[in-house]
Amino acid sequence: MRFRDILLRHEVLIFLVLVLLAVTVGTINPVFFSIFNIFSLLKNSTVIGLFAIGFFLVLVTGGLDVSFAAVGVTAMYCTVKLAVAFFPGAPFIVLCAVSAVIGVFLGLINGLLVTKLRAPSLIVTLGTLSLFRGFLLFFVGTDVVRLVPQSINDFARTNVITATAANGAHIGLHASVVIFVAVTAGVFLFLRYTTLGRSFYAVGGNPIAARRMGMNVAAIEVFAYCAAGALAGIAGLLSAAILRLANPQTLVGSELDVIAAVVLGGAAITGGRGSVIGVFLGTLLIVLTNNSLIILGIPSSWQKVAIGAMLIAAIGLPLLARRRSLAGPSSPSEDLAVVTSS
Amino acid sequence: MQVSDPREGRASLAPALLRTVEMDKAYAGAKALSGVTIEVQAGEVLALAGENGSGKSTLIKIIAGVESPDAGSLFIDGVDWTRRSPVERIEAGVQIIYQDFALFPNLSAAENIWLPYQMHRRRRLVSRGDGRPVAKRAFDEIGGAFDLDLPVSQLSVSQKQLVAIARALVHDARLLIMDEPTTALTHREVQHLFAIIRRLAGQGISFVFVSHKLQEVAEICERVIVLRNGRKTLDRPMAGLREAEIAHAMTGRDIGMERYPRSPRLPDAAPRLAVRQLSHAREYRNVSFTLGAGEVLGLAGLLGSGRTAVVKGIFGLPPPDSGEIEVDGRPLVLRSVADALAADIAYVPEDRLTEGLFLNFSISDNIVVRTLDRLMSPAGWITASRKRNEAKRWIERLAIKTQSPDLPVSSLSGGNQQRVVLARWIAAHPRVLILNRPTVGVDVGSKSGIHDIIMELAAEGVGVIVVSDDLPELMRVCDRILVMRNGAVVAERRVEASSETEIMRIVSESAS
Repeated sequence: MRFRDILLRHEVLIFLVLVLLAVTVGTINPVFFSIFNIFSLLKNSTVIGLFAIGFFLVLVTGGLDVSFAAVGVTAMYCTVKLAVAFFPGAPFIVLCAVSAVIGVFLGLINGLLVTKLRAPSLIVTLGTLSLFRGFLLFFVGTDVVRLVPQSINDFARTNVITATAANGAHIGLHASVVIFVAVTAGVFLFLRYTTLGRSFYAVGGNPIAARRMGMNVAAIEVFAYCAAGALAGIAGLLSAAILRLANPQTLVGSELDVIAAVVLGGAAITGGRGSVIGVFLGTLLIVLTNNSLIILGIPSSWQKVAIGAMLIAAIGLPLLARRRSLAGPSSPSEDLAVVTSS
Repeated sequence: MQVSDPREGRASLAPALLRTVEMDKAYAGAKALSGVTIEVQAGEVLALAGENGSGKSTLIKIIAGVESPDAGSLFIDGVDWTRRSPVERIEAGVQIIYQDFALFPNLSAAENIWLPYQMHRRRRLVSRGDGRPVAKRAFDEIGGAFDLDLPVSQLSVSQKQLVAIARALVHDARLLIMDEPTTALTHREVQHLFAIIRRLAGQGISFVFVSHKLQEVAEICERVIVLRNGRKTLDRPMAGLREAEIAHAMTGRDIGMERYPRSPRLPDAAPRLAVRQLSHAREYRNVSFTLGAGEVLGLAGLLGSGRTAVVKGIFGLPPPDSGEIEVDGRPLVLRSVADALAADIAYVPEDRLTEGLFLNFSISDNIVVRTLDRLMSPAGWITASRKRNEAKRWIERLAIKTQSPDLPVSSLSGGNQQRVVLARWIAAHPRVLILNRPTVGVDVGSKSGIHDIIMELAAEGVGVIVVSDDLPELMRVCDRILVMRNGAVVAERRVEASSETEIMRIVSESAS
């Protein structure tokens, strides 16, 4: 029974799916298992993964923040524009910080709107998605910046591990992967070991109970939106750094992959349930699916089909399993008590 | 027990654990509490009774510090605590166990107990190593016996209640206010809860037991305080107090539980409903009975006796595997609920919140939802005024207490919600009305009102089936009672020719 419980944990299941998919693809096309492919897989995961962790943080508290891509692109483009105009020599870490701060600011707007208006977060952030992006394109600019600050170019070439492939080419693990892994670890520790992190789950599980326990629910929610904004800001900047150009038209529209990664990772869309490890594995699964279909030479439109099918399976199968376990004789809702007036 | 009354200036030896003095509270001009003075001594088990809207909840909220009173003061250990925050009151040992328990369904039982505790101690990092033993100790103290690592969402109602009590205990609770703690518990679970309360009271922890179940109040409480319309109408030791006196204090009138006078019905009247040899795999077998026009038929039996399955079967939820059903002499082919509805059979479920009502919809929408085709104009429109008039008619007839039919149903008290469900089905003019535990969770006054409605409908010729655990209720409203056991009807008694003791005996024989 114990073993079955562990086996049925969502993280374990998704890990097994991940391994199965990798083995299948690797058997068909051995290129898949090359160091080059694995490194590029990880590099491709960083932006989606950071967005996904941010989305997950809000989701845990019971909110839905779909504006992350708009926040990311706004923070990234504003940061690059600022840097090009005023501080072309700023180091990458400073650019990262600036982008994160802009993200926090936009997240603060989200959080305050959601908590003050007491409006559904999905609708509010759909609104701010459009608002941030429209503001960006109208007031900041629409042109692609190709002459990015030197520190971004340097970062784009920074590898932490270098390996030599069979054909003699140098292959590196990109530095952005380190940021992704570090953020994953940090958020994992935060959600598991800090009182504030546990209160995220508490608020997502039962906000009324959280209020009665004396938690400041609104402040916790605003904090989650700000944290999601910061991660979106960093993700946005990394996306520009990887491509070495700042394009205000990117990212928005790619939300599906991120939300799919979070849901595949086992987070409940109603909030309160899920883990960062699940999100991490979900991200890998999404990127792996996209990547392996390319390797197998399947047309890219099938990527959408595959992700959609996995998403429905991930949500549907647990529901079916639960319904089956509930079926059987009528549920024991009747009361045993027999009242007498004697 | 020490009795002290501040108006008489007679002080007790030690200050009371909790005392409210001349509490006033009004909402939008409507008085919710006026001049309420209560006292709770250490180790005392006190009942706070009253109908819905009597001011019980307001008083609890003021004690919890969630609401502040317009006038009056609150003392804990003789110290004025009126202006203190809810968190400070928790720290002073005052804990409310709400009806919904206010637990976190996504967290484990253990974490539900230790997390709030560690938060109140202003820890930044949680320690599971510290928390788990704390949770375990509190849990053992109340005799909990299930895996604390299970998420609360997988626990039964009584297990959730134990978690809530354990959570209060780790905060060094000295006063536990329990809001309707027995509503969703079985008889045995109630006894377990009472055992816990007695043990903790023996250790000096006080309880305020908010309830309108008079028998339970009589069993567990030492003293009763009754509120009615925001005023205290009774404050006496339980010993020597009769149930009727409490009921009178709650309602302001005498509530009779005597049988309704029934006119003897003609034996040859054609039955409204006749069922023959109804069977359903595992649930019930060979159930046959008839229900006359204007007859009220009771269905008694223990959990799993099949009584709910049978009545749901007649409504098509799911239909029986075999057997015949006739309504007014016409055979009914029952494949789904739609067939039952077409034959004018109505079923009012026991769980009105999940099965019966659209909680966020207005009262009027909830009432007219079954009668839309009748309200439609020839062109297929439903005008707001028609809808409103229809709803108003039923609100008046069933005396639903609301300021406007446009308010959501969730704004109503339990008893009034149950009336809305009844109104909906009665508005559709059923021939057969099936009521599953119609008065669960409603107070004594509303209960009596619902019984009146059942009698009125029967007088109009509707055939009524009442499923209930409450034998006095069945004895009061029914003409005949069928007792079910293990999926079969084992006895049929005419109420005027039987006694409650006899039926009780038949019902509980299956338990042995």
